[in-house]
Amino acid sequence: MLLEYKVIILLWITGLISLIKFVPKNRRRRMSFAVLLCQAFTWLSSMFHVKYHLLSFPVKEFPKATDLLITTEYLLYPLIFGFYIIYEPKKSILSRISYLSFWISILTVLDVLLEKYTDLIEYVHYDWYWTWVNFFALFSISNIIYQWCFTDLPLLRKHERTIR
Amino acid sequence: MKLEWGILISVWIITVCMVFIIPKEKRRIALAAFLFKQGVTWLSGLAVVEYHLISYPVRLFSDINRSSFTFEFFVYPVVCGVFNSYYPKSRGNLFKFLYFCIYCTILTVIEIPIEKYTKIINYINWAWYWTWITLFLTFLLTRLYILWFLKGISKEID
Repeated sequence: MLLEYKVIILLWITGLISLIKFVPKNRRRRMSFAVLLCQAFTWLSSMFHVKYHLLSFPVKEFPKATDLLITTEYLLYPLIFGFYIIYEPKKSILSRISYLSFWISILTVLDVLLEKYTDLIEYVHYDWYWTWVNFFALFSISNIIYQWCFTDLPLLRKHERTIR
Repeated sequence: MKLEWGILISVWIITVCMVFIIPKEKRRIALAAFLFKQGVTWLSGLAVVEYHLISYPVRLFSDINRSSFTFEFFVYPVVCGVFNSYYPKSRGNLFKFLYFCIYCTILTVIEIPIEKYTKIINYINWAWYWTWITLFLTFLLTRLYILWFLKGISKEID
């Protein structure tokens, strides 16, 4: 089996285990929402990256249907966003920015490793700092939308009451 | 070709307008439904193209995706957002079932002539009733997600 397929399987297994292990019981709904939210943005962003030949994904799951890689766009990046956001400290803006930078750096290191040692990602006209900047922007936007959804607590409680 | 692009543009305009009929206080529910439905329809849409069940000769982002960005990434999820924001939760089960059927039937009825007379959708190993059934299942799945999401939401607020 190709190294790339092994990496894909490894990513899915680690992803599922970390979901079971590291999502607290009282954060499951927030986690699911965060993952879904991020997925929409990563797919859109990568679509433009591939369209303008900045990135390419030589080995992928559905080569006949798309030129993008499902594992990173639907699993890896959204999961990182999910874990980032459910553990985000409620502190000053400066500490939140450094906390975000920490997670973005982890993501960039993983991305660069996948680029260097596998054919899953290829930087065509790209570099690691673009990955960093791009995900910093994507995670910030997703964070704002996420906060918007979860800050109006009376409204969410009202919805919960009416549904019971 | 001109006809196809005219249809796609009008579908985008109509769908964007649909976003504004979602009641203000239901926007969060609609967004959650939109995102969940999008995850399901986009992935299954890719699988459907990969296994030669449907093809989309005229489409957006045609050089990188062979599935329908318009319908599976945007239109179905928005319709599902509207579906959930007007969901008749206090009515009986028969009424709810009919509410599901109306949405699936309208979407299927629109798809049939688009398939027949244009190059936007082309059924290879597919039939209209598969469209109806898969729509029903994805609407149901999304509704179950929304119920689960809202039923324990106070546990996640601290």
